[in-house]
Order: sequence, then C-alpha cells, then structure tokens
Amino acid sequence: MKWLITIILIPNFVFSQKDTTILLENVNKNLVKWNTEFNFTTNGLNQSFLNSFTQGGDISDDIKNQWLDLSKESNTIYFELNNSISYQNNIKKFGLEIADRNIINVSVSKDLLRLALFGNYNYQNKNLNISNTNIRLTRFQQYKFYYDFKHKKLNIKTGLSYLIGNYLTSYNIKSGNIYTANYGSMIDINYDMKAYVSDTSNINPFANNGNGVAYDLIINFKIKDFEIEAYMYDVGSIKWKTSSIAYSADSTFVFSGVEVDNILNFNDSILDEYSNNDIFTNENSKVTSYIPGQFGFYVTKNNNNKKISSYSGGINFKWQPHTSNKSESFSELLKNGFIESNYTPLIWTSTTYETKYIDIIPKFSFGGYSNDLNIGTVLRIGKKENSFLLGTYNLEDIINGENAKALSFMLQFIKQF
Amino acid sequence: MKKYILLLISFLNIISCQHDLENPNWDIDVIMPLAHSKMNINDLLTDTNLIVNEDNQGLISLVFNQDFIDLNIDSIIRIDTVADEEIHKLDSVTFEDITISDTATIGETISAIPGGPILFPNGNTNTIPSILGIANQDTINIDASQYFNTMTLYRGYLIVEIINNYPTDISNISLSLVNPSNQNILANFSFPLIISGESALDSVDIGGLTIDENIIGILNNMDLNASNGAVSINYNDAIITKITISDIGLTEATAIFPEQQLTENLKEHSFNFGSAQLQEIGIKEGTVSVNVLSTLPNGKMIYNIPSLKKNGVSFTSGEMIVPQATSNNVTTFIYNFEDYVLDLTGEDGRIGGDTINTIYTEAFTYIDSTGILEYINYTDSFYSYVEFDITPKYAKGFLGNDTIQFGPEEIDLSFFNKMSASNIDLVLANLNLSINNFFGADIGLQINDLSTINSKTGQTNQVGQDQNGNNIINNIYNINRASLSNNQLPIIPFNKNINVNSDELLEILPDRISTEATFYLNPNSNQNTQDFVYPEFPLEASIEIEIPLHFIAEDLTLTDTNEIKLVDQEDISIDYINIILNNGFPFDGKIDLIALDEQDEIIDTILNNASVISADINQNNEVIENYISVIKVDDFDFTNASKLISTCSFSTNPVNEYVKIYSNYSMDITISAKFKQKIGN
Repeated sequence: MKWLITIILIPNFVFSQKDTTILLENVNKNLVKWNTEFNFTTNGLNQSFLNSFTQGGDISDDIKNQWLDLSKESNTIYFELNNSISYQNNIKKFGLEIADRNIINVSVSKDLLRLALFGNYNYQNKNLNISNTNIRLTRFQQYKFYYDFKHKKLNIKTGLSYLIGNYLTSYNIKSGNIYTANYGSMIDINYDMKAYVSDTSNINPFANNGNGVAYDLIINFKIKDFEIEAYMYDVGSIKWKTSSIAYSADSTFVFSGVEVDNILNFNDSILDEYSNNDIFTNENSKVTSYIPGQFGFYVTKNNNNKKISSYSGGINFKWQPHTSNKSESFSELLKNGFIESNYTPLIWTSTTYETKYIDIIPKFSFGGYSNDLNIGTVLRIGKKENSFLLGTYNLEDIINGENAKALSFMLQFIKQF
Repeated sequence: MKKYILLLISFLNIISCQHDLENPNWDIDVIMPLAHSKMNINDLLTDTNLIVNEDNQGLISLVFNQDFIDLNIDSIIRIDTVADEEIHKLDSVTFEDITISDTATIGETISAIPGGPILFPNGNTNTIPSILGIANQDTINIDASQYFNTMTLYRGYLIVEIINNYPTDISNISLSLVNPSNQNILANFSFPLIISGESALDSVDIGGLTIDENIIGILNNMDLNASNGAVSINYNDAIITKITISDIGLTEATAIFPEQQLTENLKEHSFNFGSAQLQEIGIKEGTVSVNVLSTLPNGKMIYNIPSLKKNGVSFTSGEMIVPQATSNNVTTFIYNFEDYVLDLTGEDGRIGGDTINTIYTEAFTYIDSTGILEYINYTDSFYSYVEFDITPKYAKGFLGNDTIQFGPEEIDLSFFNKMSASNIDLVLANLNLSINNFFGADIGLQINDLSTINSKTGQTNQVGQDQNGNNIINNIYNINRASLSNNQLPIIPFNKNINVNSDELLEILPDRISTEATFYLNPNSNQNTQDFVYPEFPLEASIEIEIPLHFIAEDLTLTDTNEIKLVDQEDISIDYINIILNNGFPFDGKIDLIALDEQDEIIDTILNNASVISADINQNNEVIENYISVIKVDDFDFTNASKLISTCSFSTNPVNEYVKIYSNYSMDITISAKFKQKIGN
C-alpha cells in the first residue's frame, strides 16, 4: 500500500466528487473544501498488478500467468490522482476551484500484455493482435470558476476552467498485429500508431506546456419529491504547444535481420541498426488532448425518515477522445469520445444513512472502467460547519485485498463559515 | 478543527518512514532475427577479379581475368644522358685584332717648314724638292685605351702599315714603338722607300710582351723625296700609319672587352638506343639542362638544338648570362621540352644524307660587353655540358631486334584461396591467353612456362596444346605489328588469342600461376616499314579463365576468418542462436565454426559438422525446391572472442554426377537469437 501513502505526500487540494453525489447542506455563507482523491481501476487485472509496479521486485512467471488469466481481451487500467481546494460563496452563488490532476488511461490488448510479459518467443508462428491499444498520461492544473443561477424552476450551475498542461504522453495503436515466424527468422509487424509527447525539454510538475479550457453545465430541478440533476463536467481539451512531438507510423514492417553481405562477418554493432528512426516519422506539432469529461444525470428522493434521509440513482458517462494533431469534426469527437474513453456507462444508486455524528453514504454501481459491480461508501463526520469525509468507491476490493481490481480513496475536509 | 489537524499530522508521521517507489522487473523471452543474407554464387565467391556470367539457360560461368604481362620498351628509347661536354680555355681563344691609326697630312708637314705655306700653298702645283729628315725623332701617340689598360701576350703580332698618300715618295723611314711605362722598345720598323700612292707593311712578333694602353711611336727618320716635276699640292693628302695587334693570345689583360665570341661548337650528337634506329621521338615530358661554369667575369652562352622543334620552331636557349664562378658549382639553365619533337636524322642537309639516332646542336660562348674594365688571364675558362632527361611520348624508326625476357614470375591466384576439396571434376574450363600488341613492330612470343600451382598440396599442372594442336610451351607465336590511324593515335592493336582447355589446370585449385616468356622484337628484322612505340600503350597479355559451373565437387571446402565484436549486454542473456539456412543449391554441406581470441587461441568450437541439406533436385539434377536447415548454436562461449573461423564443406548432390549451378540458385541465411531480456531495474 505504499503507493497509497505516497499520494498523501502530495499537497492536497479539495476537488468535488462526481462519480458519487454527496449532498451537502449549505448552512453558512462560505464553504471551503479540501479534497484528495485517488482511483485505480482495472477491468481485469488486480491490485497485485499495481503493487508490483509500486513495490518493485521480481515478477515471476506464475504471477504473469495469473495476470494473463485475469486479463480480458481488452484491458483497461485507469489511474487518477486529484488534489484540489475550492471556495464556494453561497450568497453570491459562485465558486472557485484549483486542482492538480494526474490521469493515466490505458487500454491494452491481451496479446500485447502477453508480449510485454513473456516476450515473443512463446508466440512463434502466431499472430498477436495489438489493435485498440492506447495509453494516455496527462498531468495538468485546473483553475475553475463556477456560478449558480436560477431560471424559472431550474437551478443552473455553469463552470469554466482554464487548464495548464504539464505533461502528456499518448500512444494510440488503432490497429496492429505482430507475427513472429518459426525460429525467429522473421518478424512481421503491421500497425497504425500515433504517439504524442509534450515538450521533453520542459519537464517539471508545473511546467506550462499547453493551455486549454473545460466547461461545466449542471441543471437541477424538482418534480414532486424527486430532485433531478443532469450534468456535464470537465468537457474540454488542452492544446499542447508546437514544441510537442507527434510520431506517426502506418506501415507493414517485415524484419528479417539486418541485411549483411557476409553473414559471418557480423558483430553486435549491427544491433545499432535497430533504430526507430526508419519506422517513425516525427514532427513538431500542435497536439490536442482531451481530459476525461463526464455526462450523466441522477434522481434523488429525499425521505422524511430520520435514519435514511435520501435515495439516489443515476447513470454516468465519460468522454475522452484520443489525442490528435489534426482537427476533427465536433460530431466525430462527440461520437468517438465515449468509445475512446475506455469507460462503460456507470449505473449507480446510493442512499444516506444518518446517525448522530456520522452519516454513512453507501453506493452501488455497475460499469465504469472496471465494467463490474462496485460497492462504495463515504463516511461523513460532522454535521454543521465542519465536516470530514472519508470514502471509497470500491469497498468490495478492500475486502479482496491483493485480488482487488480497483482501489479508490477519497478524503475531504469541509469548512463552512 | 484541531482534531482533524492532529489526525492528519499523525497520519503523515506514520507514512513518513516509507521509502520510495520501486521498479518491478521481469524477464521476457525474445526471439528475433539479427542478420540476414541472401547469398547467390556471386556472394559465395567474393574474389574481386571474378566475373559471373550466365548463358541463356542461366548456367553460371565464372570468368577470371588476370593481367600477367605488361611489356614496355620505353627504357629502350629513354634519353637520359650527358652531351656536349666542353671546356673553353682562354689560352685557346684568339681575340679580335686591335687596329689603331695615325694620320699625318702634308699640310701639317708644310706648315712645319718655315715659309712653307707661302712656297707651297694648298691647291697650287709645285715641284717638291727633296727634304732629308723631314721627320726626325717625331713622336706619335698611339691611344689604345679604348681597348685595354694593359695586356700581356703569350702570342701576337704588332703590324705596322704605312700608306703614303703624299704626292711624292718617302724613304728611309725608321719607326720604333715604345711602352711609355718602362720605355721598353716593343718593335723597330724600317721602310727604305714608299712610293707615292703605295703602302708598306711590316710585322713583329710581340709574344711574351706587355703592352700599355698608350704606345708611343717614335719616327726616328723619314726623308721626303723630290717630286717628279710639278705636282698638285693638297694639304689633306696624308701618310697614314696603321698599327695592328693581331692574333692576340692573352696571358692576362685588364681591358674593357667588347662583346666577342669565344667559341663556336657545331656538331652532331648520337644517342645510344641499342639496336634501335630511331628517326623521331616525340617528347611527353622532360628537360634539357645546360650546365655552365665560367671563371670569366662576363661569360655568356647560347645553346641551340635545331633538331628539336615545337610547332616548327627550333629550340634555342637564348642568351644565358653566366655569373663568374666562385666555386665549382655549375650554373644550370633548365628548359622544359614537353611536347617537343626530336628529329634524330642529324643536321639538315648533312653530307651523306639523313642518319639515325642523331641530333644536331650548336653551342656558342662569348665574353659579354660590360663597358667596364675587367681582368682576365689565360687560366680563365668556360666549362659546359648538357643533360638530357626526356620521357618520350613516342618513338618512330626501327625499334631494333631486341630479345626481352619476361619472368619467371608467379602470379597470385586468389580465386581458390579459401577452397580445398578432396575431389573436384570440371566438365570444361577455357583458358584464353589474350595478347594485345600496341607496338608498331612485329613481336615473336615464346611461352617458356605457363603452369598452375597449388602451394598447399604441392600439385602443379602445365598448360598443354592450343586450339591448333600446337604445344604452347616453346612455340613461337608471331604477333603482328599494330598500326596508327593516319600516322597518329589511336593505335589499332593486333590481338592474338591462344586458347586451351584448362580443366586440369584448375582442378588442383591453384593459388598461383607460373609464367615465363621470351619476346623477340622485330623477329623478321627491318621490314622497311617505320616502327613506332608509344610507351603508354605497351604490349599487354592477360589470362582469362572461364569456368562453366558444371562440375562434381566432393568436400569443396571454403574457409574464412572474420573478425567479430560482441560487447557484453548486461540486460541481455543470449540462450542460443539459430542459423536458418534456406538452401537453394544442389549441395550438401557441413559447417564448422570456431571462435578465437585475440591471440588466435581457440576459445570454443561453436559448431562441429553441422549439416546443411541440399535442395531437392529433379532427374536432371536441377533444383526444384529449397530445403530449410536450422542449426541451433547453444552452449557457446563468445567471451573474449575476436575472430570466427568458418569452414563450409560442400559436396554436389548427387555426389557422382555433374550438377549445374544456375543464376537463380541462392541460399537465404538468417541468424536469429533467443535471449532473455530483463525489463525494469
């Protein structure tokens, strides 16, 4: 669990939680919130996979086989670490948020996992499919201003974020396969790959290598006892500076070894011939990446029961098109963004169970990055001016220990005055 | 709020002792091709002198070309000699005569007689009486200062000539010439009678005497005879006294020397070209150096070679001013003779007609006029010689009847260097001896030896009969002369081919060819046709061996040593190497691979008798399908390996039948490696 601990070492800022709706009773004029959120989710691999990458050590063939057994044909690994702080003025109905966000969104084919874990030796005379593999690593800061207003019976909240991109690495293999001939006499690689890396000469946690905007729109209204909210959060992109490098390769590459005149007159300098220079073309280019936006709606019914104060249920979508250095139409972006997010629609339901000092908010959901059932729980300590929230979206995986497919952690401090 | 802060601080305390993230690591098994080569017969036989031909059916023939004779006879016609060595001493030189005149008019004589101009006015006609002693101890100043200051002669004559232009005779003339510096009498002259209108001349040997610049003439006596009646008196009529120093041979002199030629050397010079009788040489490049050593203060030389022309203009050195020598070092004047033509027929219009090998030269030496007093003496000399260093462009004439020996010489034959075999049987091999004669002269070629040698096995084979059934050895082949195109380049050579079936010569897999030959230049003597030779175009002879690859081979072994360089890769551990041979040749093979260290010590035998299977063949022994053999190389030690000896032993399949090698036969060789790579760390 060292990885979890390291998160706390990072300065914490509060950020609002979208996957779970926690209704806060705004009892004062001002509200300050400090939020730390960590989320690691896979659709097949488990926590031991993540532990291996954080704890180090030798990964045996047994472990690799276990991972392969767990893996799906397409394996999603999602990691997000957010720290944020926000201020909300309940009188003037506006708020400010500053957030530091680190997101890794990976989808790897099972064959590529095989290749990465075992190499190609065991797959001679076989075709390994590496299509639909994408890896996106993004770090950025988000400065958000939001404003609430009423329109007839609608409560409308709008937000506009300015994004400062620090770091981007993005690989996308749209289609590809690798064939190794018997005895390793030939390797045939077909691929259509694009890769983007932000300015490698300017790497520091708060470097400004790109700028962008994101939009929020939340509409809330009541129908009888039901409170309905439709939302769109963080729909936006970062345009990385032209010092970014765009690599692209779309070819069939058959490699039979370095061609030599005299087969016996070779030395390992021929290995120098293995150069990506001939495979990739690269150019400095403006690159656009997209942050994971969220769409969805939910319904809440408040209850007069002293213990169970409300019931909620909804559906959440995520939208994150692949990084690109070419302009694409809005309709294509809208359509592809949901598929390319590696996120399946998350259907969820939750309730709030109140006790004298602690509110317990359990949540059940299905879908998301794990495409599986998730049981989440948030504990809210403190009822009025000060409250402390501690929660997870994946309670069931804490129980499963190293076999957990997902791990999440949420910590909030809220001060109202 | 305080309790939350305390809780957070406690939490941070707990985690602060945790160490950093660590990287995982794991091994992957990779197999991948390292190197690939498609080797056809060209690649298998890497001799650079080898040409691979194919016929219409694609049957491969190997053609090997080797120049083995490059006969040039430019040494015969090279001119590298010293000519026209001459010493011109001053004692052998006769200087030009010096003549000084003195004129005494009758007017002057009459004026000296009291009342003379009254008695004998100019223009009158009078009778002149006899006057004895009209001149008595009269002094005549003879000024030679314009010629010399002082002059000591080992040879010379003082000549006095008196011309009597008086209208009457003169008699009893006595004249003495005296050196003023020491009053020594140089000479006495006596003339009894000189008739009017006539002259008298006398000379005295003055060898051994020193002459001053101002000689004094003393007219001891002269009588004026009575005229024969009245004569016309003309005051301008005079007695002229001419004093000449002649046949001057100087011992020493201090003089202002006028320019005067010392020597003239016109002669022919013959070059030794052996038996060649050349008429003309075109000069490609070269120089003529005129070397001169002069002790004279003002030497000058002109050297002409009328036989040497460029664009019709003969060579002349022009005036070569030779500085006075201060040591024995000669002064050299170098002239570039590039593109000159040297006429070797001797002097134009020579008596007896044109000759051969001979040039005509002219050398002139001078004392130059400097206008100042110079001292010279009889030991002064003028030494000169001429150096010819000429590389001819061509030579024409008769080239002679030389016999030129070539060899014995052994030529390396690299073709089979890396091969050995227990049996190799060629169906056919053609050896063609091709001779191109660029000489404008007939050549007789006698091949004394032409044999192949395998120095490893000690086997030798000598060439047999040519295409006409003649034994090649010791047979004299006549190679006709080449011809020029309109008496200029290009040369149309004469080509002579001698063919022989050489399968037996080659089946011993020779590494050397032994040759020896004798060339006879103009074996039929002078044919009244002008010979020529252009050194840039010699006689060339080459051997061309054509081997159609139609043969039986048993254990035909190719051995090669290659340097290898493998650096330890810490994160890569090679388990084994595959050598994948996709064999398209009708050969079975065995391969040995041995690794050596830098001291050529065996480190490891990597392969021992690894089999390569022949391609599948049909009933005509033609390949119909490749065969893939995989040789796994494991348990090898490349540590410190710096060389790899490869021995590939092939036998044709089937072993007792001839097989043909076609151009489409090839062998694909791929080396792949299976290795573990550690990921992470």
